[in-house]
Formats: sequence, C-alpha cells, structure tokens
Amino acid sequence: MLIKIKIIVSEILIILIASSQVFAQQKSIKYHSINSGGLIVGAKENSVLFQTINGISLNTFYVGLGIGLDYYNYNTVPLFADVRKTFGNLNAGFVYGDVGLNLPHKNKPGVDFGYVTSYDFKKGLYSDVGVGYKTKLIKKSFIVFTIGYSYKSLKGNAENKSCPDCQGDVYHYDFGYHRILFKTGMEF
Amino acid sequence: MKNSQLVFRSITLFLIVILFNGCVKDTCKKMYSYSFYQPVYKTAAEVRANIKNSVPREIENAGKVYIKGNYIFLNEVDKGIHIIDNSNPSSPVNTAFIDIPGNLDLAVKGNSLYADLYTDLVTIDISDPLHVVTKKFNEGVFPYRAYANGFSGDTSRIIVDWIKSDTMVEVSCGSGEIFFEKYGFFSAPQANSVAAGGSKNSGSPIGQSGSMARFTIVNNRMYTVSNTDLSVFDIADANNPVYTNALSLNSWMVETIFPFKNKLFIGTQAGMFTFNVNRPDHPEFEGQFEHVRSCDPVIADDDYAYVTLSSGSTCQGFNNQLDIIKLNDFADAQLIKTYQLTNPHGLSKDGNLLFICDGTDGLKVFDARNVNYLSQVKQFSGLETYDVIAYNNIALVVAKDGIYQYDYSNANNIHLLSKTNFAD
Repeated sequence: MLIKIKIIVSEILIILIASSQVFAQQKSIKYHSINSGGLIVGAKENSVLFQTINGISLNTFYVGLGIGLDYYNYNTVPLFADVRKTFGNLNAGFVYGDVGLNLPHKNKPGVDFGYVTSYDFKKGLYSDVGVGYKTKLIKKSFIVFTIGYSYKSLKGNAENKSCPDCQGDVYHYDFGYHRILFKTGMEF
Repeated sequence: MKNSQLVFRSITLFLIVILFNGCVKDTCKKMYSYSFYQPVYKTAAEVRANIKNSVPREIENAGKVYIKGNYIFLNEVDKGIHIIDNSNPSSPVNTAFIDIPGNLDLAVKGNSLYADLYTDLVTIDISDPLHVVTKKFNEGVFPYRAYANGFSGDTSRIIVDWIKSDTMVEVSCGSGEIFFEKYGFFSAPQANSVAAGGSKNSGSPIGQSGSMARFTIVNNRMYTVSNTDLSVFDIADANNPVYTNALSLNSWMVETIFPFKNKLFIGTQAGMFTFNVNRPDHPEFEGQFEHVRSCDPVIADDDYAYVTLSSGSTCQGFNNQLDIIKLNDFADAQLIKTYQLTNPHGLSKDGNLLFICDGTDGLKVFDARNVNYLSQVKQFSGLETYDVIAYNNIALVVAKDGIYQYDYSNANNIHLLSKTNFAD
C-alpha cells in the first residue's frame, strides 16, 4: 500500500517537475474543463463514477483540481489534483495521474437503533493513474477516453445496537479498493 | 480511417479493462472490539457474610428504587443497594452500600428489606439503615433468574463482580456488506431498565416502589413476578418470610407488578392483568386488558389504570403512548383514552397530578382530574428520565445522569430541589 502511494506520488512529481520546466520556457496558459463519467471495474462489483476537473494547460502539460462521485461499494467524493501530459496536438494520447482525498459521502449518526445503529467513516486516499486518448470533436472541444488504475481507501466504524440502552457491537473497518477506471468525457 | 482507428482503440481499451479485471483485488480489514467480562466468584458463605453496610459507592448503573421513611434504597444493578439519607430532600446524602450480588429488585416492609440475590431472597433488618443485619435467606425461590447473555458459570459459587477487558480482534469481512453485519459473538452484560413510579400510601409501613418494580407488598404478603410466574411470600413475621405459593402466568412476559388496595396489576408485554388477593396466598385472576407488544409499566387508582407503552427497547413495539383504562369492572377493563407521548417509561400519580417519565423529553406533569382531557402542568426538559415516585409532595425521578427531586406541594410552582449525580 505504502509502496503504491510512493509510486503514484513519484510519477506525479516527475510530471510536475517536467511541466514546471516547460512553463519556464513558454508561457501560453489556457483554462480547460474536463467532465467525464465512467465505469469502475473492481473485484467486488462494477460501478460508475462522475467527475469534473478544472485547470490550466501549458503546451502539452495540464494541471487541475478535480471533484467527483465514486459509487464503488461505499459512495465517496474524491477531491484530487490532476496532472497530465499530452503527446500530440488535436488527436493525441496522454498520460495522467490523480491523487487526493477520498471523502465519505454520508455518515449515519447513532440516533436510532436496529441492525446498524450508526456508521462513521473517515477520509482516505484517492488515486488514479492511466493513459488516455482525446480527439477533437468541435471547435476547442475534445472527446476524451481514459483507462486507468485507481485505488481508494476508507476507514470507519459501525455500531450495532438492538435497543437504545444496550451496549452496541463496534466494528472498525479499513477498506482498500483497487479498480480499473474506464472513463469518457468532454474537454473544453 | 480516423473513425476506424477510434473504434479499434476503444475496443483495445475495453479488452484491457477485461484483462485487468481479474487482477484487481479489494482489501478489507475488519476489527471487532468488544468487552470480555470475566466473573469473580465467591462462595455463598463469603457472600452472605459480606451483606452489611459498607462505605457509600458512586452510583453507576441505577436500577429499581424504593423509598422508605427518610431513606432512598436504590438498586445498583447486579451489585447491591445504595442507601441514601433523604432527610433533607434538598440535600440527599449517599450514606452506605449493601453488597448483594445479583440484586435487581427490592421491597421494604417495616424494618425489613427484601432483596433478590440471584435465585435467593435475602431479608435484611434495616432498623438502623446504617447498621443492617441479615435475617434470613430463602434459597432457590427465583429459579428462573439467569446470568446475562445466557452465561453459565460455576454453579457452586456466586458471581460477585465482573472484570472487564476491552479486546479487539480481526474478523472476516464476509461479503463486505458492511452495514448489514450480524451482531457480535459476545456482548457485555446489559443492565435492566431502570424502574418507575408509584402511588401514595402515606402512613403505611410499606415503602414506595416504582411502577416497574417486580416486588410488591400488600399487607402481610410480598408478591414477586418473574417473566412467567407470580410468587407469594408470607411476611407476617417480617424477618422470616415464608414462600407459600407460585402461580404460572402462562408466559406472558411479565414485567411489573403494582398493588392497589386488594388488587395486583401486572404489566406484561402483551397487556395488563389484574388479580385480586382476597385470599392472600392464592391470587385470583380477574381480568385483562390487551395491547400491542410493548413495555408497559402500569399504575392505578380507584377508577383507572394508567399504562405507558414505549418503543425502542428490548420489549420491541412501536407505540409511545399513555393508555387510560377504566376499572369499574375488572373483568372487562375498557380503554378510555390514549395520549401520544415521546418515549414514556415510568409513571406515578399523587392526587390529581400524574407524573410521566417521557424519556429524552424529560419529566411531564399532568393535571389528571379529567382523564379525557389531561392538561400538561409542567415539563422538565434536559434530562432523560426512566422512573418517578411521587410521594409526600416530593417527586423522585431517576434519570440517566442522576436522581432528581422535585417539590410539587404547589402544583403551580413545581420546582427542582436537588440532584444526586451518577458516576460518568
């Protein structure tokens, strides 16, 4: 797990360093918004995600901030930084890397009782690295396809109570989800 | 050409997804934290020798409450009885503790206190509450009493305490449906619910119990209920109770017993049952009032029975209400009116004032002169209430965090006199 994080962070750092060198040489900054949805293929299930990334590009490099909805197993809201390097101009392949926080979508306070009284999940890691291809659709708009490997983690507690005055059973969870993401979207 | 390339690349990507599908793997680490309770045993002789006054203890897990004279006797679930000097209700003093392992219920007549000690009944002379003396043990009179969670220990000795160990173990994540996991394999022993309310019998040598009491006294008999039966003890000789009879209540999931004149009102999860005690050793079934399954402490006066039904407890049920039942004919009790409440527990009535512990809504006081139109006189919020005994112008309320006492000598100015805090 730690090794994987280090690899992801290293890759992103390399891209960032490379991009900073290019920024120093040329200054033609453009705003881009990448809005996509996709399929999550995992061991447990197949699910969907939606995300929007907004950032700036300089020549073949792009840096942005993204937020999304990830419905794999436990619904989460990834909040991440995105970097990508494009190889080509109009129709081009690219590599990308995302890293950030994986925020729980909803927690349940322990106000009632029953099968599960409450659950309280904490933020974890969200990452996604992969390759993609984009092709020009109309003026300044591209259709984008990506395939990537993603890891999201989540920690939390759940408590079961059979009655309000009963002592509950407390479970502590530490989830790690390894998935393949297959996304398509529009870049403006 | 470009379109065919796009299609080709898309198919390639899809195939890659399929190929990688088998490679991805989720990880789940699930830890279960629980408290393991190891019993501490003593011999019966050691336990009996230890039933005496000891230094006062902090109240941790309050159970049934009983008032006798200037003293409050408060059960510490499975541990014993706190003796609280209530000579000055504005400043009660926790004065002593009697070690009675397995104690849940109690009753007082004259200078004799009766308490259960797991399956036994112990009689204690409380002439001097600060120097109590054991008088008699009736062995095995509560045969259905069991340890929490079905624990089966050393039957030759008595469990006097539990040593708690907090433990965390890794368990299987199962299907990964984390929010629908079944219960754990071992839970802590659970405290019985705290008891509730009573009616006024001023001048009686018999103390005042709560409406959730399972011991009660009528003249020279003490009546006790288990989940399934009603037992009778002759206490004409107060320090020498004699077990005289037991009636099966046909598994009515009996919860409480409340006396009024020559009647016994027995609250069960299925309804309220009335017995007369014209022949004291042979209670006779008179009638019943059935309701939905729920916890239902009951009290009564000359004309009506007052039953609270609550949800969210081990009794299950989904109703939170007060039922008022007319008792002109015990064989045919009739529901007069239902009032919706939040989560009512114990209740007590003195004169025209009806006190109801309404869970997190606190204590509610009603003017009950007209049962068809109860009017709320006062509500004390900010406390989670379980039990109330209204007696001699003092309403003693057992709440989650302590014992509250309210002066209701002036119905227009009911006010807090004191609070005795429980341990955190």
